Amino acid sequence: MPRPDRPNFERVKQALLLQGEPDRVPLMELSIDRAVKRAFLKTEKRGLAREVEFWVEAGYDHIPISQGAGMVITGRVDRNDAAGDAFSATMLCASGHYSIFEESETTRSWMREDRGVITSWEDFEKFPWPNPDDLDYAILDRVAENLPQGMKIIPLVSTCFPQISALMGTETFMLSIYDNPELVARLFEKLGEIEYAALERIVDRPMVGAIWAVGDVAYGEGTLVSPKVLRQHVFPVLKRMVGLAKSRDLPTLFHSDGKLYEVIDDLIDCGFNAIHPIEPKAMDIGRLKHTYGDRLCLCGNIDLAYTLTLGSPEEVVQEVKRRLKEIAPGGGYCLGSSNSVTEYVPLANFNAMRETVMKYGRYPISI
Amino acid sequence: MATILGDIAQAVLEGNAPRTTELTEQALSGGASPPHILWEGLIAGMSKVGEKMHSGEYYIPEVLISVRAFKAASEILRPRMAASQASQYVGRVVIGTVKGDLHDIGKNLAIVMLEGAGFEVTDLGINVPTEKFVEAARETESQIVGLSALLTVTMVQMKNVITALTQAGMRDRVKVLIGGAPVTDRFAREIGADGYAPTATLGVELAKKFITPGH
Repeated sequence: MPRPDRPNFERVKQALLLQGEPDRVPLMELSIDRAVKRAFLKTEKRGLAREVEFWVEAGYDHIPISQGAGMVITGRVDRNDAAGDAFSATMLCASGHYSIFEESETTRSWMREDRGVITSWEDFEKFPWPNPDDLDYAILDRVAENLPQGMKIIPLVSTCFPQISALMGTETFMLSIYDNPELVARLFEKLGEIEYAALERIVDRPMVGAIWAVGDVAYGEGTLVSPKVLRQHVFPVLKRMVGLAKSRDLPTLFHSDGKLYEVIDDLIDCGFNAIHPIEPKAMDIGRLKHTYGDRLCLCGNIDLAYTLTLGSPEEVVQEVKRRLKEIAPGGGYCLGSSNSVTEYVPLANFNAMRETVMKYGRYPISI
Repeated sequence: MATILGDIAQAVLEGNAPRTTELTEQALSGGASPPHILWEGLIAGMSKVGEKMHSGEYYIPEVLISVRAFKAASEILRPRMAASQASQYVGRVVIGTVKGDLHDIGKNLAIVMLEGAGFEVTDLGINVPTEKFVEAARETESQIVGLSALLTVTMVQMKNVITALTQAGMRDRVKVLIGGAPVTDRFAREIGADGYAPTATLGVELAKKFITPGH
């Protein structure tokens, strides 16, 4: 089904800023696997033009693009830079049937959970920290060359938390909060400085429509570390970054999996306009709408543990219709998956999600 | 003696590894038996850690420093535990992360909590082939098979393990307990697992119920 409207980032902005109901509920995704994109476009051709074509045809008003040092360090391991190389050398590999679009097994890289590349002051000093001036901002310009009128890019920057956890190794990081708190503090300061500097080089670009801070601080049962640790190390960094975005009238989104109830007030205090992805297993979107709907835009929430991955297209349709009926009225909701559209989401289910929003997501909602 | 064992439990709860090992040595010198120290000191401490995690007072760092204290002291006791004292274990578990999945921090926490509750645990590691769960359960005569996964696409391997246990004629001799970020109660029911553990603490409670006679 072709999209019935043109890309228009204003509908996203209106939802993010809680400015009432736009023309329809925006679709919002942090990331969509390339296999899903190729299956959707029915092409194996690659390139930035295809990338833009996908997001336009699929009904989105934004294109998310990884930026900043955090993404370089723990993002795609084929990046050609010293920091990424130093980190990726420690990763583990495994084979499995990860993609439903491939018949044979594929390989996936995994971050170590014991010891990472930085476990001492010596490691910290030796690590090839990225220089903000050397990061790739030109991709924003190259994508912008293909952007239709009305569409914007949302750069993804890191919250620093999972990157520090990966750099130290999860277990070492958690123990270091007690064993070596000064090193932990300095790591957050260092990566926060680089990330802020990267953001300074992004916020004035005309193709940027919002800023998205990405990086899990929670899991299904609650925050990974105590809120006190997050308040000490993470939220001050984020508040500064959000302040910079706000000074340029850019809305901001915060991504973390898991149960965030204990820190939602902190996120509001940081100045975030929206939270994502609202994992159904961890948080009740109805409760969030009731309690925080006047202060936060809610994004995501279509279940990945079952509905989008193992469910039928009809089950996807029903879940999307429920969210549109119960959460979308009044605005302040962008619909999407409860994390990202992965290589194990069948195309039929991805299409069911998008098409149901196109069909039933126009305001005023009447389902 | 009760005082020093209480102090050992407290040291585990505080995550103070040096103090836990020091008090363990003192208790041994004072004539306490290793199983007594293990149960009334270390395991008692880990039980309180589990409670604090369940209540939301402890997060993963607090649990990990307590686990470190528990393990350090356990290593002192282990060579002093007679083979016959293995019968004091409340049950046996084999546990691993399923094929294609390399996450283990959640599984490792579950192992320590299970050991802390008196189970003998065989850790099969990560990326464990289906048949290895079956072989290990058979060889160790475990009553419980624990499966962990972090991705929806690897979680489906859990069903393969249950199928393999059935084909090996072992399904009615073991209870299958599953956990991990994408896992839900609904998924557990759909694949025929015996239980779903959203946290390590709740997993231990389920494991205890599974080995209760008549369950």
